[in-house]
Amino acid sequence: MNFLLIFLLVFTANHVYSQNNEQEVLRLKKGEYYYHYLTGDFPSAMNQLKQWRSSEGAIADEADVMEAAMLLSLGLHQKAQSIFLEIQGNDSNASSQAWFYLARRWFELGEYSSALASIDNIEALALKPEMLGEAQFMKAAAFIELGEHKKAQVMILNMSRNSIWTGLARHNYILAMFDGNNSGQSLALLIEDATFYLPETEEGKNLRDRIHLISALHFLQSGRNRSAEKHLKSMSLAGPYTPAALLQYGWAKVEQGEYDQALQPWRELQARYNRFDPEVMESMLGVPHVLELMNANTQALNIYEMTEKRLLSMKQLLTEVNKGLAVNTWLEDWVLQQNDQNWGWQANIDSTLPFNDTSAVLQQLASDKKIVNQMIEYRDLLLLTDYLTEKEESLRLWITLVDKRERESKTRIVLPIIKKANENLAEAKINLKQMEGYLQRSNQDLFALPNDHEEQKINLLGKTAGTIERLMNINKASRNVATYQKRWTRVQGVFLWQMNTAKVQKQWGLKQQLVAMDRLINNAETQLIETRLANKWSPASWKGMKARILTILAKTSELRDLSEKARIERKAALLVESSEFLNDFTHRINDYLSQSRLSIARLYDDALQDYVATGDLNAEEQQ
Amino acid sequence: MRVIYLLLLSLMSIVSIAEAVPVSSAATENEKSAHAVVAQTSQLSAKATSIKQSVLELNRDLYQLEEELLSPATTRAAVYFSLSYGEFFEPYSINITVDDKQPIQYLYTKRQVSALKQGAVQPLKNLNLGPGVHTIKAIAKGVDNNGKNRELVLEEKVEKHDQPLYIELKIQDNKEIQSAELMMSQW
Repeated sequence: MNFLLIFLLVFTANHVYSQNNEQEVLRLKKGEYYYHYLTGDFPSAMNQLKQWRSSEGAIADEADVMEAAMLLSLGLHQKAQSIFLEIQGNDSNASSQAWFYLARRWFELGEYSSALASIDNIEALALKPEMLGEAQFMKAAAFIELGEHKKAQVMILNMSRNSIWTGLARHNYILAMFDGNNSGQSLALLIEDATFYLPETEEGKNLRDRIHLISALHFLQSGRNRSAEKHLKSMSLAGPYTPAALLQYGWAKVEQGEYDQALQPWRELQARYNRFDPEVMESMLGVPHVLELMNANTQALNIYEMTEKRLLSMKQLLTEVNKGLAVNTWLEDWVLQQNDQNWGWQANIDSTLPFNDTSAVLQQLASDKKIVNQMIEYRDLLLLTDYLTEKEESLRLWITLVDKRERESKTRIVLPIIKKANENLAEAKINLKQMEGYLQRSNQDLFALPNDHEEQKINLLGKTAGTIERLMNINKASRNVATYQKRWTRVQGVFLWQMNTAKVQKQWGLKQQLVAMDRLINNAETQLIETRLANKWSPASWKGMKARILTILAKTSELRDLSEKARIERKAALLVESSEFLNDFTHRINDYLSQSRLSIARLYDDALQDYVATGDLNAEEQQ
Repeated sequence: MRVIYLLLLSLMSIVSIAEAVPVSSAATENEKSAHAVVAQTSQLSAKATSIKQSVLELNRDLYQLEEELLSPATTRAAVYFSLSYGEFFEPYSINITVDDKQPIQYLYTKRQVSALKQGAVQPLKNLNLGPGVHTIKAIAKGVDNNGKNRELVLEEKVEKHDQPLYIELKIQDNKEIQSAELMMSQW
């Protein structure tokens, strides 16, 4: 009965101990996942995610939310949606940060209802101010997109007044008001607020320009040219919206009949910006048109002719670029200029093309989000192909290494060495035992533990004793051996005294040496046991590994081929789209050319009509 | 003279129209090819997405395999570093040696320290340790709550068996002495 009780106690203790260990290891792994996630190393975090899928509790919820966000970033919407629905069905314990990332991805994808549902799970206090501002902007913008303008207005009122996110929300709200044909004092006040309460950063200045530009365009369309002009005048002359502002400012002036003042912004526009910019191209025809309106026909004709020449040279450049597009390295150059080497949503992509003739023509193409996404996809596939090639190479090296490990493990002669070491150790143990016995006996032995000098003396004493005995036997009457005998006894006594005095120290020295030897023997024994274990464990470094490597290598190679093929296809598709873009561009230039040539023809015709009307023709010409 | 002008005008108009005509006639062609391009683009995107997912799955397998190849379970020892609260000590580097060999050195960024303070556990290194007892020495350098440079030192022994060994070095706040201490646990 007692035995059973003890057995049960031991079993329970062991079970609890191993469970605690598992819990602790799980805690470390959870912490590791958070570390990768919080430091932005998402691929490593994804590697950890798989382990949490089956576990219970908060971490699983968190993993679900994060996995949904990561799947969305990879474009795997359906799978993400199913996870999302599952999370919504349960009471989730996921952190506000995880919900925020999920909301951001939904918002980027234009899934505003899902974005709102995710934002509702965020606790305001759990987020940093910057993230909270973004979450509030997403909420307001999602309301606007879903047509719930009142809710959006309340949301904006609750946001921090000077934040860039509030500015962006106001910008979206202004656009919604324009779309709904709203006007009046509230709109004017909203625009004033939106442009006044913005941070004095580059981003803030650009947003201010943008709000002014959209307002100006709206007022131009509704014929309120002076209001439009007021907004255009407020825009900076060194921002991304400057070309559009200069062009529209010119048109606003034309609409008001101030022709001479319309020319200056367009001249500025043509002097400062790329001739392939749509605004610059429009202004190229706008200038002679205004000159015509000013009745400066000769000047208008000259400018039209100059414009025709410029357009022809532009067309020629476009044709040349289009012809050499297949061999042009603009796409590869663009990939090379990216500093971020990550793929997927965490990559920080610069969509600006490298500065050269081709990019001057294609930069407009790179301003199309759809094309940029395709370029990013091409880059992702290129990085994936490189990554898979690298992994293939590394797996091949691992095969060589595993082969080497196996070969070395099989040819290594370990057992005889261990056997020999074991024998040596056993011999050392016997020697130690003997020495210990000798030390033990030294207490009874008067002449124990002699050194070389003492040994000589003992031998000498022995010899002398023998001589004295012999002398005593040979000649008793003539020699008095008693003196020698006494002297021998005295010498022996002194010697014994000296040896006895030194014996304790000798015993202590020997004992210390024996203890050290015992320690060394123990260490050697531990080392021998560990060597035996290491020998037993060594196959773990190669056994079964080669088959696993070969399986994964086959998968990697297959995937690399697929990725390479997809990359080539993507590049071909991009080239087709670029070529089509250039064709469209050429057609547009053709349109401008037609317009300028027709204007030239019209101006010549008008001049001829005037010439005929004024009767300056001679008789032959009149016939 | 008038005839020449008229001829010139007609020629210019014809050239302009001739250049404009292919644009209008090619409109329907363009529309068709645009549809084809959209269809091809979405197909390619689906393909790319599927490749990305496969790479992600393969990456997990590769990660696991490489871990096992680099340090088989029998010799694997994983060293982790964590921070509890970090009120009295903020690390900027850690230096660890095992049996006076295999030095592990790490410098921390603000973002990493912030992650550690939020409860994250840093996987410092996977080591290969033979069976038996090993000595671990660790020095964590950083600043205390008064902004002064401080070093936390630890020297302890760990025993390696045939199962993976998990070592956690943790900087723990001690409210009683208003200071932090470096501790080690093993599983």
